[in-house]
Amino acid sequence: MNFTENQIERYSRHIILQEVGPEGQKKINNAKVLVAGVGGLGSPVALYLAAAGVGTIGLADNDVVDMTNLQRQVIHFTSDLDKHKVESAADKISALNPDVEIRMHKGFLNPENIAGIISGYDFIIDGTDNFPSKFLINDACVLNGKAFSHGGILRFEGQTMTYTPGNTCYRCVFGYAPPKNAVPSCSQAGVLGSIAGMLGTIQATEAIKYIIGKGRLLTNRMLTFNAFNMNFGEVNLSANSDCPVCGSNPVITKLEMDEQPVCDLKQ
Amino acid sequence: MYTIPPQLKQEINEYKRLIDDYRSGRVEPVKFKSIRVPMGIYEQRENDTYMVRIRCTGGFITPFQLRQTARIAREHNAGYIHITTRQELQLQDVALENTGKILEQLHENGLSSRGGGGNTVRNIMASVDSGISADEPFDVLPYAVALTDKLTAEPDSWLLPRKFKISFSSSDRDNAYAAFNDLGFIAKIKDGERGFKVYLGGSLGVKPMTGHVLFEFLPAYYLFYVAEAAKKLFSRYGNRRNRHRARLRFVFYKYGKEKVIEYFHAIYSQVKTASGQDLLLRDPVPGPAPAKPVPVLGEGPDYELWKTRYVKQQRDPALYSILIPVSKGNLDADRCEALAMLLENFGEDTIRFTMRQNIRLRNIPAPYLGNIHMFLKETGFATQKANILNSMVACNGADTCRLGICQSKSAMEKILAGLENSGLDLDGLKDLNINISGCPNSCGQQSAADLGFYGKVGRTDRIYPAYAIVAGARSGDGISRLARHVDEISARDLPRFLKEFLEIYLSRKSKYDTFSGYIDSEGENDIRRICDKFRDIPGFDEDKNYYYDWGADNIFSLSGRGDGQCSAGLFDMIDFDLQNIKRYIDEFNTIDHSLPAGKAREEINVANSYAGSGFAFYGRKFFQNAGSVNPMQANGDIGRWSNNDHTSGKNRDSGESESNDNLNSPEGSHDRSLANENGKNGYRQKELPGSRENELLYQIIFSASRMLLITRGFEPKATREVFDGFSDKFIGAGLADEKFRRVVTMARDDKAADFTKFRDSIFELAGVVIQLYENMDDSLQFNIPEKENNENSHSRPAMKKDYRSVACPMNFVKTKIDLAAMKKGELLEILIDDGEPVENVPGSVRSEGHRIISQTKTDNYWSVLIEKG
Ligand code: HEM
Ligand code: SF4
Ligand SMILES: [Zn+2]
Repeated sequence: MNFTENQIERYSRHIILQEVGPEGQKKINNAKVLVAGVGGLGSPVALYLAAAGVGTIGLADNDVVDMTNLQRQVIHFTSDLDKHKVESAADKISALNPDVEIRMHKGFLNPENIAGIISGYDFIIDGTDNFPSKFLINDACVLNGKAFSHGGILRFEGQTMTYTPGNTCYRCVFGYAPPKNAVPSCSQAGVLGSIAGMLGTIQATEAIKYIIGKGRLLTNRMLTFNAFNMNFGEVNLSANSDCPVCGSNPVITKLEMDEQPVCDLKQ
Repeated sequence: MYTIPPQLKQEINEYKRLIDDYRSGRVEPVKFKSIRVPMGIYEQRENDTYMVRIRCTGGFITPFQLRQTARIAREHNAGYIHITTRQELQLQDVALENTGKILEQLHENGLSSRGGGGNTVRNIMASVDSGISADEPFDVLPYAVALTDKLTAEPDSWLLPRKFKISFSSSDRDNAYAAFNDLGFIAKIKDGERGFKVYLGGSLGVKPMTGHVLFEFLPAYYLFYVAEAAKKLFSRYGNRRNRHRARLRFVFYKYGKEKVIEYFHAIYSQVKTASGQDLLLRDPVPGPAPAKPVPVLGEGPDYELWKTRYVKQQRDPALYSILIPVSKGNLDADRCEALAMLLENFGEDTIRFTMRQNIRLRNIPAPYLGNIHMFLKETGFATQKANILNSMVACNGADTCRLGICQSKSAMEKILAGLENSGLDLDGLKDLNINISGCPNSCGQQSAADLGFYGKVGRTDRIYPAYAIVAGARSGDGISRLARHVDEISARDLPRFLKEFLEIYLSRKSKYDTFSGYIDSEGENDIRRICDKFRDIPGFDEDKNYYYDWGADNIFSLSGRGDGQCSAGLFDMIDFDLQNIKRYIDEFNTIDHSLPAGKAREEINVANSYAGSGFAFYGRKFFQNAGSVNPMQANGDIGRWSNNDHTSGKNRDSGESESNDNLNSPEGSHDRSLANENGKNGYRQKELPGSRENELLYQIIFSASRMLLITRGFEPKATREVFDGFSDKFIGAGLADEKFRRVVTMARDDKAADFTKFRDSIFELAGVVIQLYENMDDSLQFNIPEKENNENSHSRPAMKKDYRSVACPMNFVKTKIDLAAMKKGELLEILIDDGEPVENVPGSVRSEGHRIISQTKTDNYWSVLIEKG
């Protein structure tokens, strides 16, 4: 168990925890997590994972930082305007924890590249802002046996669940991407910036629990909250045998992009 | 397909202007060539005809592009369309004036010739069965294409010291020769992650080398960074002065493996933080065009035989892959167009060019196999022949290549004609790879073949065309090795030799799994035995046929060759002595009864079997004595010192400017008078062994003394000056040990003195000089490697840790870390301070399930003994 003196100090509060300990911290240091979407959810996730010492953090995004992002995407600063989000986030991560190896994926995740990219990670954080990407991440993870955390926020509300192979997937719950205009677009609805932090930190926590192999994950259940009333709820889920991707007669066997407009307000 | 870099259009325009300027004399030929070659346009040996290389990453091209290429070829009267051993296409025999237009037309069809030649990142290869084979972790073509996109968009990819070859194998079979390319990748999956095993520095050519493992597993994400760093490494350390020592492998020869890998990592860590761009993978096949319904035709005669020879089922059992034999890799425009149009019916992803210059179709549904068969028969592809008659590879050879020694293409034709009527069971030779090169430059890749030949100069009273025989190459993750030199044969007897050999091989084949296995056990001897029969070359007056090469109308000669791309001079002069030293030592070792009995003889035998040469033994031994083992040497890298056959290649280069028939002979009239005086005397004369031995030792001292004098700016005019020069410039300057002065002075004073007593010292002297040469940099300075201190044997301390003055909770944290590394039941003793530490730490340790065995106070601190639970 070789930690440097600096690492021993940096991670001492993890190491003290019996559930983490030196072994768990080593696992964290050796883990590889992909943050898909470095926006509202991806910001806190990336920061907490970096602070925890996740060995390799992948950052996937195709956007540059704009003014409307700064209200909730806390990894980007005013001085980062017009900078590529992946680079802006990478700068903060290396400043926070130089131990972290960063992989930058500048570009859209698409059916051609996603399998190759996620193969390099132990856990995937879905921090994307549109349904086609969420379904694509789900399908790619199901077909390639990867665990991921789903997260979504709108107005004052948030929802999150964790997928691990064999358990309920995102499509088990939602089937197909909703038709255009069936859900209010984020720009119509708006979002309270701080709930991105509430949900993102839950996703980061799930990632770390998965890595150390301890605790009870949000599998087969969906956690929801309404921050306006500050109610938390939990819905029990079970794998759907008619699920188009993980059911007994799957119709989705090859990755494709569901048709859906991209939300014009980034989470 | 790859993406065409945006600046290409402009580069083509500039190139077109340059053709005019060159024709009108406004631009000198050298300058023109320096632009033309990196554009992928080569001059052929027949003056003023040119060839245009077309990049086809991984041998992939769409049927539509192939059809357009055929049209372009026809429009510009190209002799034919040629498939190269790097999976590219080449339009052959075109006029210079047309090349500009050709580039434009290729560009319109998404094809580029940039980097086809010159000191550039060459066509990136990929396993021909990637994407359809059952044993691969994943398809590597998207990676090869993405890397091509990236590298071809960077200007520094065109300004390297020499060519830079990259290859991707999709499985551990390494059928794209990752280990024989400058940078090679083998697809791997580790813990579910896609990545590659990475090899660096491999190449064929003169002094070939198998690549060194750079990464056992590199996550795919880092592919581009590694390629970029390797390119920069090559750019920085590659030898730009001497193109014959320019390839990346020479950087390894010069600095040694450890150093080069260290340099690589230094550059890699910079590149990784600096550029911050990963490869954006996309599907390189532009959309699977739906197969147009084609009527199913019949199968045609000989269908079943054809199927067993040329058709393979793919991973998807409904689809088939078909090998189309292309004789010598040459296709005429009409057949090429017809084939392309047929394939357009089967979608975009149907074509790969193979490294054996054939075409491998893929994704053909079972019902249509008959259609393809009938088409191939009707259009005159040699589908009725056994594979071996279609799979042999030969470089262009001396009929079109300016550097060539022998006419390898003609030799191959002769061989094939002979085999076809030989009555041998040719289907039994189905998977045998035979490659032929016209000279040691190895364009025919014989060092990667089961059985290979390369042209060299043979010599009786005059020179005749001959081939060196190499055999037993293997490729595969971790087992790759180059073919090793076995013997040599005159060009005249080559077809007879091969027929006899294959007959013997067929009779023994069932005993072996692989051809290389056969070579290792019986094959090498079989080859030598057959060669023995052909050893006596009739004199010119007895049989002139031996002095004509296959396909040649004139008596074999090296004059009239173009001046090639050689930098004669300094290095050739050094090489001349180097080769002599090696030969003398080899000969010395073969004079058996002169060797001391007992152990020494045993060692030499070991050395002989180890690298095929006694020299390897001495080289190794004395390198070790000199304090640092040259890593190439230590690896027993074959082909390095193990034979002196690249003499012909090297001296050939030096010869080109002199156009002299004798140049390839080491004893030849190299324009060094001393070579005659000292190098030739008595060599190969039969004398009493004792005196021959003594003379060899003298010659070794002489050559070793002279070899590097030129690097000190000293050209001796007389024999005496050679020895005095060495004493002064090397021993006096501390480059060679004082102890050598004695033998050098002896040699100066009396050629006939008894040197046998100093045998060890003389061999050591040779080793020292050669090592100096190996460590010489481009400015001719010797970098003498320092002795390394290796005192890193840590004795593992007992598990006892001192955490006094470590505050809470860090003392507990550190204790937990110690315990985590221990096995259950093992003991750990820690020292901690009195007060808060001893009040907290033992309790916390206990609460985590460990046992506190004792807790004792000494002065103001505590010793706590813990048993891990
Ligand atoms: C006709 C003019 C040609 C000339 C003057 C020529 C010259 C050379 C030379 C000097 C080398 C040795 C490079 C070294 O070892 O550093 C070489 C190697 C090589 N050339 Fe050519 N070549 C010619 C044509 C071709 C063609 C048509 C091909 C086939 C596509 C080819 C493929 C190769 C290959 C595969 C090597 C092996 C070297 C390696 O992988 O290290 N060459 N050539
Ligand atoms: S191997 Fe020699 S003869 Fe053959 S093409 Fe290369 S340089 Fe020419
Ligand atoms: Zn499902």
